[in-house]
Amino acid sequence: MAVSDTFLLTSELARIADARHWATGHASGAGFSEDAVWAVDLALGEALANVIRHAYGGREGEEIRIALTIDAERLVLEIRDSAAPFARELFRAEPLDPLRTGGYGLQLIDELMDNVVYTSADCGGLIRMVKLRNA
Amino acid sequence: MQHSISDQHGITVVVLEGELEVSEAPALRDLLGSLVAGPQSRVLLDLGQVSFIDSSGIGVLIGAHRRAEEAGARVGLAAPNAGVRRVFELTRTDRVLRIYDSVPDGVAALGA
Repeated sequence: MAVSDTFLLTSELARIADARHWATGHASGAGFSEDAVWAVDLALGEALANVIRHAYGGREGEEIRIALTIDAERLVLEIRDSAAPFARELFRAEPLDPLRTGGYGLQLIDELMDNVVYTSADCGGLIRMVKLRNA
Repeated sequence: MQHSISDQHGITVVVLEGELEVSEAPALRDLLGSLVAGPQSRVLLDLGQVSFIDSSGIGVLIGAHRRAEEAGARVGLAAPNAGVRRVFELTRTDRVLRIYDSVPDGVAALGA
């Protein structure tokens, strides 16, 4: 059965967990594997942290809108903000230095999701992440 | 995130409970900073009741590990669940952090 839902949050790090739990509730309810739910959980958290810290520069009170759709084949998360679009291409894929204390988020998102696109929409940023049901 | 602290054979064992996620990272950083006080410090974080960790949590653990090693102290991690362990693996931090299967294993290793 198809699922379509939206979640609105403001740009506070403390709000991320609520959004993660909302998305994983839908993924679990739609029968995604435990591993896939875990991947969605972590990837969404990392993406929202990036939006708050980098797109909004840590400014609180800004709006973030998450649209979730689930069908027979995939789960799609679209995260919209009203800040400048995120230039993913500016962040080169470099080997992870296991002693650094930050910068793991983008690589985790790429590894956890089956498709990730950073683009722009409605004068803001849009991150579209896809998790396939049977990847 | 909640925590409790005990001493086991001279090792400071910190039981962490909940999610080590981005909004909890500053509190975890402060906690570890207060526990790693000098070269004699031996701190074992019991992750058995940690249900989730993200890159911010990883960053705090790496920072604590690095500062401890530089000071001659030790910080270890015990009993991570499968999801937490997988984040260590994906970030390659399992190659540098001191990770033990159980609290007794960690206490024995850090006390050696």
